[in-house]
Amino acid sequence: MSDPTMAAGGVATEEPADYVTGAEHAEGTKEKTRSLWSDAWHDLSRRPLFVLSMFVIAFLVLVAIFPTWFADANHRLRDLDRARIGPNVPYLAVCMAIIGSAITVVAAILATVGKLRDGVCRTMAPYVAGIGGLILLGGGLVNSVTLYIVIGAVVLACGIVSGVPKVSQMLRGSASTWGLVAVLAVAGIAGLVISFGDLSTVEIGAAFGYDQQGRDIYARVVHGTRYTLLVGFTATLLTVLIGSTVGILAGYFGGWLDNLLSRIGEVFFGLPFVLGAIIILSAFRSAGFDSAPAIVAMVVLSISVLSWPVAMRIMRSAAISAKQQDYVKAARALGASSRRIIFRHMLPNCLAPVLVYATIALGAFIGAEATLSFLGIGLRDPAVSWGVMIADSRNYIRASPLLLIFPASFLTLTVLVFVTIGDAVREALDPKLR
Amino acid sequence: MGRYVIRRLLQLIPVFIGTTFLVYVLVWALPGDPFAGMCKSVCPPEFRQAMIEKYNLDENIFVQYFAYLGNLLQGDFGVTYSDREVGMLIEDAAPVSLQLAAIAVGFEALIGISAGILTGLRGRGFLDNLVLVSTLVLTAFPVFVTGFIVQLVLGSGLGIIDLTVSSDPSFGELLAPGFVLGSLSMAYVARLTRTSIAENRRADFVRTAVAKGLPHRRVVGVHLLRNSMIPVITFLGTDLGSLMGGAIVTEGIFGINGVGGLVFDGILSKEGTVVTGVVMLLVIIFLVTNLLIDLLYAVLDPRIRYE
Amino acid sequence: MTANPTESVLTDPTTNGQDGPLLEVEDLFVEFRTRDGVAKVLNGVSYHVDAGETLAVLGESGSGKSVTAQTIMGILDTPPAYVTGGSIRFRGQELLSQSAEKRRQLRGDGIAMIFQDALSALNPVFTVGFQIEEQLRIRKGMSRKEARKRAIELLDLVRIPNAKGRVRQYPHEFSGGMRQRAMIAMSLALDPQLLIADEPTTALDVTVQAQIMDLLAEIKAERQMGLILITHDLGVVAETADRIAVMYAGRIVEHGDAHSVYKAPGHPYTTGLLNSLPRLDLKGQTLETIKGLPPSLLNIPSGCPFHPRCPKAQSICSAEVPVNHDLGNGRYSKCHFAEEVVRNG
Repeated sequence: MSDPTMAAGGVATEEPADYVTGAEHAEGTKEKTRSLWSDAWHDLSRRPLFVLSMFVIAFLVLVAIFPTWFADANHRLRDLDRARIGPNVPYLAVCMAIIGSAITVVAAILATVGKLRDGVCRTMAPYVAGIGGLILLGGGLVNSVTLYIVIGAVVLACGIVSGVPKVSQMLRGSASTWGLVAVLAVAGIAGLVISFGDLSTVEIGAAFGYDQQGRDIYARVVHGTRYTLLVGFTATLLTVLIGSTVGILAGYFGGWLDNLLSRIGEVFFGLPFVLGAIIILSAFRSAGFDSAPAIVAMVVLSISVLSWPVAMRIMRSAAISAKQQDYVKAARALGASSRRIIFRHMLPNCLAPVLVYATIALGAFIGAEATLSFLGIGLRDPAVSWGVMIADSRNYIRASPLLLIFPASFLTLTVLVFVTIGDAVREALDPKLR
Repeated sequence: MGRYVIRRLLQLIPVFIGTTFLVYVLVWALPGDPFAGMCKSVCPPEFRQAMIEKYNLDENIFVQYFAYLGNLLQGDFGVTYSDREVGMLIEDAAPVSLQLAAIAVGFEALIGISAGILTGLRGRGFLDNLVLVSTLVLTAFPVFVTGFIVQLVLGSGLGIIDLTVSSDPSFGELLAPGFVLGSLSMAYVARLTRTSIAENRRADFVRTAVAKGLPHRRVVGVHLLRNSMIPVITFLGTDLGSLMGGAIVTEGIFGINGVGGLVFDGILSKEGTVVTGVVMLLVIIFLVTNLLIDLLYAVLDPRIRYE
Repeated sequence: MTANPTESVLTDPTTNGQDGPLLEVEDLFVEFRTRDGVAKVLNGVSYHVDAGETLAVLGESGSGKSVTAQTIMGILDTPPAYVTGGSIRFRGQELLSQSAEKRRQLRGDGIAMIFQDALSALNPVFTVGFQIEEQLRIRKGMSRKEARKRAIELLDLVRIPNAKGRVRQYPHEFSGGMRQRAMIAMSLALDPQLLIADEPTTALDVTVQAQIMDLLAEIKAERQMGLILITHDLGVVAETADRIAVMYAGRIVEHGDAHSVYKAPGHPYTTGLLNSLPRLDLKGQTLETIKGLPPSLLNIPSGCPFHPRCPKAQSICSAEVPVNHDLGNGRYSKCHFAEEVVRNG
């Protein structure tokens, strides 16, 4: 029924400019097949949201590894005299203006590159401009700085207008793109000049204010990145490692082993996640683990122990369907060993669904860590994470909601970025959705 | 069908024993003094003796567990240190938790399914992107952040709801917490519905229905939706089971005295009997809902029945 | 919809007008607008079917047979498919300019369709009876009881044993052949005048194939329906078709009565198709095949689209698009050397 679509889909992998006849096609002279992976990568690198999210993550990782580059205040220093002092608004406004302007300049550069070479730069420019404009606008609004507001509004408008698909099509390759680039560049540079000028007029430090114990919230947010990401990454890695090892063994060998492993998986799966984590963590807490690495390890372990059955189920069903494929049957008929079949033939073909799960789980685990810390059984001093900060602010949300809002927005943004990547990877790797 | 039910029931037994044993070990048998933090300062020796006798704490863990399980099966959930029946505590807490979970699932179904149908039928476009982005954002908010935002905006900001609910909350009071509890799965339901409809939209049987000259409304309403709703309905069922015990955070934020709060307090105050009792119950609920969902699946999709 | 005046018309002028053919497709153009470009799926397809007659549409996958059928039915997915020219007349009435509602009324009632894979074409979650009765209740306003009675009659008609019990069963409880019979029963429910069967036997065993074809032929004769049989199976065509239309790259490259096309094909492509049939009398010889693959519809070769694969290709073939060569007796071929091909094979 769908022959024409299939025919059309079939040529998607060929160079469209080339003239391909059936005969040449059959001889395979011009055939250029892409694997699932390179196809997915090709698809992903063209998604502006994915590329943007990857940059945000790269930045977060940088912050996590070198927090002192970004915050020189001591995040552990308590000073009850300054407890719950609000944010240093003028400084915060200037900082936001600087960051927003810098991003606007980047947007101008992206738009220039996109004008010269069609590609992801062109599709990303409106997003970047939009973000830069929003930050500038925000900076202006918190401290009512008219100049910032004006520049921010202009940049944001540029981003939105050029982001509308129809306008974007019109701008493609047209000379008016240069006008847009010029507006962005002028706005960005003007913003930078003005805000750097303003920097000398404001008192520097404690942009986000101090928490209930008088600790610098900004410094704590920056230092919290490390534990937040550490827990997310290691928990995902461990979950996927346990889950896929058990899953591929169960799927490949089947029989009683499959039955046994599946039942074991169900035992852990039967525990509601939050409840299970609370029980595990509070049980081991009384066993006395107090150093930061030990606390992190416990949180990671409890997340992984409760989540691996999901990864296992995914891997198991992928392995079962791979096992029935002819290439695996052929390998067996040729007398390949189990180990060789699993590693050489099945693993590469079962990886995609697990990878999709892993990217989505990363975001979820960061949220889970925060939830556990919020309940007071996850991370705790000396380990600081955004979840810990949110938990600390719990009792003050009516009096000073900002204690909650700063860590919560960073947390949400980070989870959002990971979820976006997970979503993009899922769409790129799941043939059903293409 | 009957054999299928029995086979599934038999499969439940080892899983039930495994899960509950795991919980029992974690609560009772871990290194450290089980009485630490239980009494104000040091527990009186006669109290210790009574507890050790009641829960066979001097026996090995298997004996303890099976003795406990024996009592449980006779409906005896044990008593707390302050000599209150755990069974009674659960009876008090369960209805509100069930209500909360039901409201949450109601929100999921109402908002999630409508958003999913709307975007699934329309295909790519502005509305579709809007729903996709908002589901992403919704997934990114941890429950407690959503909870606080709802509290801040609806409670302190607009004054529509009280920050916490009363001790015996009415249906209206549970709406906001129910929304918060259901927000995460709402996004998932919307996406599941959307994918399911988008997939079936191009299915051969839908094309057949069109070729039969049926009105568009009937093609969508009967042929497309009936098939697309199968995974959505089964997900909602599973969620009802897991939300019963997964409401700890929401219950904590809104001060609801439900099952989640009961078990959380139990953990903090080291009430082992409360924790094991509630968790056992939740595990049973979880497993039984999963079984019921499997059966529901078989009812909804006739192809499963004959496998 | 304006007719695209690029190619000549296949239909016989004498049969036009009130007493014209049951269905007339003229110069039909359809394209698929995809991300990778525009695929020209139909490029001026013309054919006609009379009442009580079987037209077989032959061709490889991707040649546009099914798309033509879907365009006639009005069930193309738009986007990506767009009708860009041509006309379809059913009982003298133009379909392409009709309202969506009018075309819907015609589906099932005037023109019905049978699909290739009955398992996926029938809704898995409803009983076979429900799916037949549905049309009767909604389109004919029958009561549940009447509809059930009629459904059983229809299942009897397509010789499904124990029709009374079978109406309550689900599609997956039927065997492949039985499912295709149920599909046929469903298509007959509203007594259509034209039946389009899209590869109705491809998914079936050879013995079952013959039974289904016999059934279709019999019902067609009984009801004096027009039948369009879409297939790539030449064996099926030989037995049942009155006329044959061979499709390649979205156009009819050869058309004629079944007997003479078989005896002396007028297009190298048809020759290739016939030669690739295994024959008992030539046992032991290598089977001839057509070299290469069907062309990409995003990039249809210049001139005659078959020239890259044609054993008889000359320089003119890549330069000029061949027009219809009249071979007499209602036969046409779109080959520059049509007469020669008929004479020398």
